[in-house]
Amino acid sequence: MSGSRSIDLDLGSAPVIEMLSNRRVTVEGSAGILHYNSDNIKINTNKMVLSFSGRGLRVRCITASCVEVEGFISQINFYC
Amino acid sequence: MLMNIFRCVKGYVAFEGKGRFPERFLNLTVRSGVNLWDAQPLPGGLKGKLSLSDYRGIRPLARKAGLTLRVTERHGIPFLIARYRFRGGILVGAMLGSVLLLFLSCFVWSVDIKGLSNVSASRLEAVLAENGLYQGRIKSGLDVNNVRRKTLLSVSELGWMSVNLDGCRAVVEVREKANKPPVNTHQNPRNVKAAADGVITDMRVHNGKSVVTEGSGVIKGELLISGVSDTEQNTVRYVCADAEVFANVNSKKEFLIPRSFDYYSLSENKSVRSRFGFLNLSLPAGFSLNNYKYVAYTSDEKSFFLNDRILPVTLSEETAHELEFQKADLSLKQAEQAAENELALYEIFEKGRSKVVSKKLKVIPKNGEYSCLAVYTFNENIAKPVDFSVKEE
Repeated sequence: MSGSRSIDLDLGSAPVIEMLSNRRVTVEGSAGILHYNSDNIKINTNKMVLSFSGRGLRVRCITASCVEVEGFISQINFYC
Repeated sequence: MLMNIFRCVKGYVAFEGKGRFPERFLNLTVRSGVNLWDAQPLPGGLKGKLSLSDYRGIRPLARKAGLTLRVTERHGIPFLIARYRFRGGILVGAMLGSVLLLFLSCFVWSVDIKGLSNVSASRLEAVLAENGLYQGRIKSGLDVNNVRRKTLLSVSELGWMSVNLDGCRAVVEVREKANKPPVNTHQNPRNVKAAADGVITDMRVHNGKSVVTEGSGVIKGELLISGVSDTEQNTVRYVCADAEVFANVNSKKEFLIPRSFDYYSLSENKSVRSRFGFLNLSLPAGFSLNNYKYVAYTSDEKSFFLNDRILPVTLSEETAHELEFQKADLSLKQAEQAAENELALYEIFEKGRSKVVSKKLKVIPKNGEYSCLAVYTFNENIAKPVDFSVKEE
């Protein structure tokens, strides 16, 4: 065994995040919205929770597995 | 764009939801297959848009998420229909309007003619009507190629023509033939002789040998320009003499003006009769009648335009003016004025190419009439070509 820790990657079920500058982000593989206001939107994926902070945030479009968030995004946090 | 049209057809509402868990409402709507767009967070809730069919079944979901929904705006055709559902007249009017539009679109509303310069538009309109193209004609049986062919054969001045139907408007474009310039093809030898007595003031000899000069007095029939000219070899050459010879010519004009005459004048009385025209139908729009003994009619037709397009509706007014029979006696002064008017017409229509050098008018009362004598001196072209034959001996 080597001293370094290995990280198992399961990319098959990981969410796909696509960003257009800091103004629009599309999250594929969402399981629902946990928190929703104009300063912070938290999106649940199966493996983690994505938190987008900023100003004037809103959900532009939402389907069962995809969420498109629009606004001025200043911070992104991943809670695993 | 397409999505907006689709939403408009289906109808959609903008709503506001107040409650504790707006995010839960979003998740529930998504899981139920409800399409929600433009979701924006509000303090203590959210607002968004939903199609009308989805909004009807969304109340239980809102209740489950602890939200109270309130519709803020309604858009789309279903709401429009609902607003006017008790106004059957609008529907009937719309249907009648559509039927009328379909009916009217079967006719030629107007015939627009473009490109005319010398041929009169009314003449061409008459020829087109003879060949089957006129306002109010049913479009279905109209053979524009046949109309074009027949019209080109009927109006010889036209060189090219096209007839196109642009909706309910028939557009006729024409090009007239270019006139051939006059070409002097006269080849026979000829002289130029004087057409009247006079004193020559100016000569412009184009061909031939001049036998008179400026200032010469000539009598009618006198040779002015000879068609026989000598060559350097002492032989004779016969040419077609051509010249313009201007001379001062004395002329008299005598005529009589009756001292008293009858005429009809317009009285104050008139009656106006309106007519309403639709396509090629004309219907009376008034019941005005006249019983005047002597009548003169004038008519005035008004057409209606919409966006520079002539409509097939006209309003015409036919005015009947009563005429009064009157007798008048001319004084000497009035007779002189009448004679001046008569002479002005004579100068324009009979001596249009001549220039008046001097004019003297004398009006004398004679046997219930005025005898007028005008003595003129005209400056005019007196050149008259006369052919001559040459025989070899």
